[in-house]
Amino acid sequence: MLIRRKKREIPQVNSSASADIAFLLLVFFLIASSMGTEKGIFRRLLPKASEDIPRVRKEIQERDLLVLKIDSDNQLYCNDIPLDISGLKKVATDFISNPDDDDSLPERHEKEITFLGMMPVTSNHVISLQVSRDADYDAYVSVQNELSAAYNQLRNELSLSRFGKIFAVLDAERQLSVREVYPQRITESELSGEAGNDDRKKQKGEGVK
Amino acid sequence: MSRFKKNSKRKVPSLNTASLPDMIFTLLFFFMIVSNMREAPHRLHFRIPTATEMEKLDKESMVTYIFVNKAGEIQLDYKILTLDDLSDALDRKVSDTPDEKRDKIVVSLKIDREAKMGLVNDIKKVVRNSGILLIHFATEVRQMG
Repeated sequence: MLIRRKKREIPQVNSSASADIAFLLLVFFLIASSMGTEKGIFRRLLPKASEDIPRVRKEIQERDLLVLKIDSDNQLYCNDIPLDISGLKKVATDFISNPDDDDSLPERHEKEITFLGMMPVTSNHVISLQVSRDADYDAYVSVQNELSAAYNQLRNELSLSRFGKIFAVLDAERQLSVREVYPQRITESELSGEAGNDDRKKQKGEGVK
Repeated sequence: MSRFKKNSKRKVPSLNTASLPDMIFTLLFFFMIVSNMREAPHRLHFRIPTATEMEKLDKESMVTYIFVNKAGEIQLDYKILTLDDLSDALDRKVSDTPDEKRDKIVVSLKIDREAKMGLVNDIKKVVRNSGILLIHFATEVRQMG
């Protein structure tokens, strides 16, 4: 009993930094988590016709009009010819830009645009999307998606060649100019009856953006 | 006597609470990861379509969500509505919004991919009649290949 053992202590882990580590993790997850960002396709509807603003009904020339139809079997028709969805983007870009100044495609008008100067613009082109009531929403969204893809591609090409940047990162004023060259002109209506029946009187909403 | 004296000197060992914050943090993380934020509980089951050309919904805009499932049931906020009710509810939403914010209202449509376009068109008509002009078709990222 004379030799007394020294009391041994258990070494303690220094945990003062663990709170900091947890904070770092917290910040990381806060920044990395998307917080449910909603993505999708935007469309602007045409305002309701009122007495103050009478709707101006312009005659649309044959060459300025691209008629897309989706029938009840989700089949897409482009000017009454069946078309696969994968070919729509090409058709739409050709229609919107009319690169070769084709007589059967929309007429191009020279237009003065800020930042860009004189540009040929198919300002009267209209894409008329007619959808059967029995078509699936999926088919409609994929057509809208392809149309958006066509506009985006044209806008990106233009802004890349003129400003060296893609459309999405341009500042608001330049975006507006590019939009002016390729304005989104999509009208939507219900397809009544079978595909092939021309029913342009029932046009309701118009997408302008 | 000295023996007893020694005994009385004993103390209750104190609890080491250094790891308590870590435990709380762990709990916090667990709930943060497990929970997902949503505006209203989804009462309907739906699968939104996929797309490649998507834009993010602007954080500053005032978003109203309309959910539609395969069977054509419509949900706005917490209730399942008919088209007429939807029209009333949207009108109320617009009139409740201050004038300067009205053009920032966006309707986000979360619609099942197998829903019929007839109903979608009707909803779009209702939205347009209530004076809301910006619509947003919610989609998922399409996996290529």
